[in-house]
Amino acid sequence: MNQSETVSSLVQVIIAGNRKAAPELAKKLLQSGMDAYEIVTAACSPAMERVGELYQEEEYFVPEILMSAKAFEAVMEILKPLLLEAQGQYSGTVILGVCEGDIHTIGKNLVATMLEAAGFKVIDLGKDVPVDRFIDSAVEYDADIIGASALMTTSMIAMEDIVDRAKTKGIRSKIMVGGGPVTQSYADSIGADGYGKDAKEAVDVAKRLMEG
Amino acid sequence: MSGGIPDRVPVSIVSSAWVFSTYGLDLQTAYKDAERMTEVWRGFNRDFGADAIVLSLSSTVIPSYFGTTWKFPKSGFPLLMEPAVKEMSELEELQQIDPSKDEQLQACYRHGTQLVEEFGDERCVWFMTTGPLSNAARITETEFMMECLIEEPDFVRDLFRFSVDAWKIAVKPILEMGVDVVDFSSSPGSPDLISPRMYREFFWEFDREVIQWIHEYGAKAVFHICGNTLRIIEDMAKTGANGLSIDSMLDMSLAREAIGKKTALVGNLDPANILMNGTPDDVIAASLEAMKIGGINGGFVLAPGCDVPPTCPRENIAAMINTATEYGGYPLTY
Ligand code: B12
Repeated sequence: MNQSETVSSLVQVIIAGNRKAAPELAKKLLQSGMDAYEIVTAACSPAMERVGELYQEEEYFVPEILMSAKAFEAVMEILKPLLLEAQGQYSGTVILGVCEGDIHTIGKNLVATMLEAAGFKVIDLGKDVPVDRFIDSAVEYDADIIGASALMTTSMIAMEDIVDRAKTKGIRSKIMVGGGPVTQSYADSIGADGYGKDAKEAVDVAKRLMEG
Repeated sequence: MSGGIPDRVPVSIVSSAWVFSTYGLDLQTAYKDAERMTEVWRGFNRDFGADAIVLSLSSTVIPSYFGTTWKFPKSGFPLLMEPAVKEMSELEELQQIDPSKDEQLQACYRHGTQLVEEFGDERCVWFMTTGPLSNAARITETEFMMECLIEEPDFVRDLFRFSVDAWKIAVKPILEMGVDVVDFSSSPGSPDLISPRMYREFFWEFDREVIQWIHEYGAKAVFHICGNTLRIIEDMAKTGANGLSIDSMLDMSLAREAIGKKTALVGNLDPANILMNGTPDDVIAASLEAMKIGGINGGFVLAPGCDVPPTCPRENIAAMINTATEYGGYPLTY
């Protein structure tokens, strides 16, 4: 198998959710001289994008996206140290979590891995995260960005409190939001700094927030 | 639900959580206190007068028996903290359920007996609970179960087997006391989560088994899967269920077309947008529409599409029930 064939197999096994084969192929690509960042952009991102499409087309369901995410994460385990080494430093620190009362972690996990792939240091607070924990962690890690995810209309309302609390506390972190029911107009209405509709946009937004 | 056309469209709230919180019971302790639960339903029957009195077993009871732990937010749904089974090998170590050792099951049995004695003649006693396959996702954890559906299909079957057996043991006394309807959920089978193919491959057989078992006791079987179930509604009907409880995002006329006339539909008012956030007029309009589509020739129970949030206003529940009693007379003429 030449390098480009291996890249397409890696794309295929991530889409197929094969978490054993995926890291092996990534190792092979590294051995063939491909650099970690290129593996992410040439294989991992397009694979996950395709998985997102398959989900939207109702070809894929939750078990399938979960397994693809696992395969993707298994590749990232191998690439992460190399990415960091190559970059020399993180491009920024992001506090990420799912709002209180909400346990929908799949989307947040994808955002976390894509941010890491793009060179961000991600502090993942997990699910069911109270407003104060977002704020306290942002202070503790001197975060550039707070990313809040919510999949339920009932948990989404905490985003407004995160924005308000961050303001009153005067912390410097920018706030970005996302997840199923969240929209750009909702993000604007609560005064969040950014909104991303998927994990790819989350990275674009994070990069933009780092600039200004 | 027995096939003929009743005098009018029946209506059921299919949610005890709302009833309990509206009548001042704390959800965390309510399920242990049979007498208070019965008293609350007496109140509900007096104030609202729906056709069904709902006996329920909270979604946490059976999984908790096996060791699953939860956090109960002030409002909203219980959050699973630690599942009883975190690795496949832990399933084999579980001891099958013994209802005599569970306080909430005992309270449920006492409460049920009281309801059947008091309302059995005049009302439909509707037992509602999370089904065995929903429990399976709470004995393990949904995400883990989803992974196993792909990587460890045999484990999933063992888990389902175990959970169905546990459920039968826990529910048998309730069937024996003579409830009219057993309404259970099979939530992880939803096309929101898994493919119709997986539903057929893993879930269908167990759903059918449970329904046949309920029939052996002479009760009617209703079962619920959340979300837009159009793509599996025919399979659901083929389980032999007397009624399918459907969510608000399902287009009821398409569902009716798919399943024919034999199976009743139970639903499907939108719990969040209509019952919680709507006005009583919205509820009336939605109820009239649902009855027209779902219940033109019988075979329909007006009900919420899914669990009713505890914060839903009383007037809206009253509006739903009153619409059925005032306008639901057959033949529908409005
Ligand atoms: C999977 C799922 C579950 C799984 C969760 C598993 C897990 N570990 O995450 C399980 C089965 C456990 C579950 C449980 C429940 N669920 Co659920 N669930 C879903 C479902 C089907 C898919 C969500 C998902 O993973 N999508 C795929 C991911 C990839 O997309 P995503 O999360 O939107 O993320 C992307 C973007 O939004 C964005 N993004 C996400 N976060 C962020 C953050 C930032 C900063 C940015 C920039 C971008 C971004 O990037 C992501 C990647 O592209 C949805 C329905 C649906 N179709 O959306 C219901 C849904 C969210 N669930 C719902 C409900 C009600 C529940 C329950 C309460 C059901 C119950 N009665 O038990 C429970 C309990 C939930 C709780 N307390 O939190 C409702 C919520 C309704 C509401 N109130 O708004 C939904 C909408 C279903 C419905 N139509 O009713 N659920």
